[in-house]
Amino acid sequence: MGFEMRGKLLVSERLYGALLHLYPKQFRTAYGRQMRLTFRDACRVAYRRGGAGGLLVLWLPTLLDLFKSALEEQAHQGEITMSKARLIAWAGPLTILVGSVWLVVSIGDFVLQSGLVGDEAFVGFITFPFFLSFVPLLFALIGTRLRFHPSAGVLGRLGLALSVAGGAGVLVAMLATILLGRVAPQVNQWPWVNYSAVGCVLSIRIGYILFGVDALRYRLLPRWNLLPLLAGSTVVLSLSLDWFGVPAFLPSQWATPFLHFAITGACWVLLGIAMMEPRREPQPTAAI
Amino acid sequence: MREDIQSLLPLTPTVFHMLLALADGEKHGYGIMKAVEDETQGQMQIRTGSLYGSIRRMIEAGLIEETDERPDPELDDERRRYYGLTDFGRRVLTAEAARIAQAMVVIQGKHILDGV
Repeated sequence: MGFEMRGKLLVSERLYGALLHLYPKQFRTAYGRQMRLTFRDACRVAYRRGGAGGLLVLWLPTLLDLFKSALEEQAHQGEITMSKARLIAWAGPLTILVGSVWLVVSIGDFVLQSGLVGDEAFVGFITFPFFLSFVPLLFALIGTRLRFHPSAGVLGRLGLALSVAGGAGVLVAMLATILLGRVAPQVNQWPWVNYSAVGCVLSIRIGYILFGVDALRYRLLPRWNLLPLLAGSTVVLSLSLDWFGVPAFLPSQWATPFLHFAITGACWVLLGIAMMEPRREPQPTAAI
Repeated sequence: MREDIQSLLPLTPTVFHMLLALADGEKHGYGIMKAVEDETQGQMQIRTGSLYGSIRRMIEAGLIEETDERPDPELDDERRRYYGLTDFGRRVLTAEAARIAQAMVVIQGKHILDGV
């Protein structure tokens, strides 16, 4: 077995092993090792047949099957309810985490644009955590939806669904970029993937604007109900600065991304803090 | 027992082909996947997640079991588990095959496959 082949198979097997954590622990204990061995065999055959492209052809349906069967097993083990409570509990801390990353990224971008630091390592230093932050963001969005869906109105529910779909879409687009980059590294651009990712980011923002309207209307959050609307609307600020120009008192070269990320990050940090406060349950009326 | 068998019929295509794959001897997970793919001329491909989900359900239903017998250890990875049909699983497979054979008689009588 060639060194290159062994390396790719090892990466595939390890990635699959990590994804097995989506299954309930009981199922994983019983079949996890067997599933890894079986997938390793399938990878070897796929690689021999079609090289890296063969591996990709194996991975795509395997991934879909994995999500589907993991969901079935979770439902079988009755762990979905547990996961739901856990996601709701984690929505606040994850939102703070994402907001913090975006704040750091905005400062990094400011440093980059100001010319204080300009090497590629620094670009990677701020770019990598930014893209990685979409993983906790998706879980934060799912948790937020699970928490506020029952109390939100039609607009809010639509907004929450849009934001989750957008978050999932961004991750799929990122995964597609990585996979396509591995299969055909000579092709640098996949415009439809980029357009899809931009559309998904907009979906998150529009979703938050709609959710924000309902948050204000029904006082969904324990406090600071303006935050979801503000978090969604920063994209409007960004587009306005792009289209109508940057005000004279701001240096134009860094104003748009800096303001965009900084305000959004700050909104998410505060939103996460607000979501971590215990829910206000209706107080029983005193007996007369 | 006969009622038990009838309550499981008709089998899903996945379960039927997995039982069929095990009819000629014990196999490990990938062996079952490969046999199903070969025996259906590639029309059915079971992925790893669905395979082990089905294995769990089939063990719970008493159709298959883990077997202790191993091929020559030098020829195989000892960490692998092998699965084989139980007596009940074989009877269920026979009943399903009989049901399909009966349907085939009707299909032939009505010349459904003529010209295919």
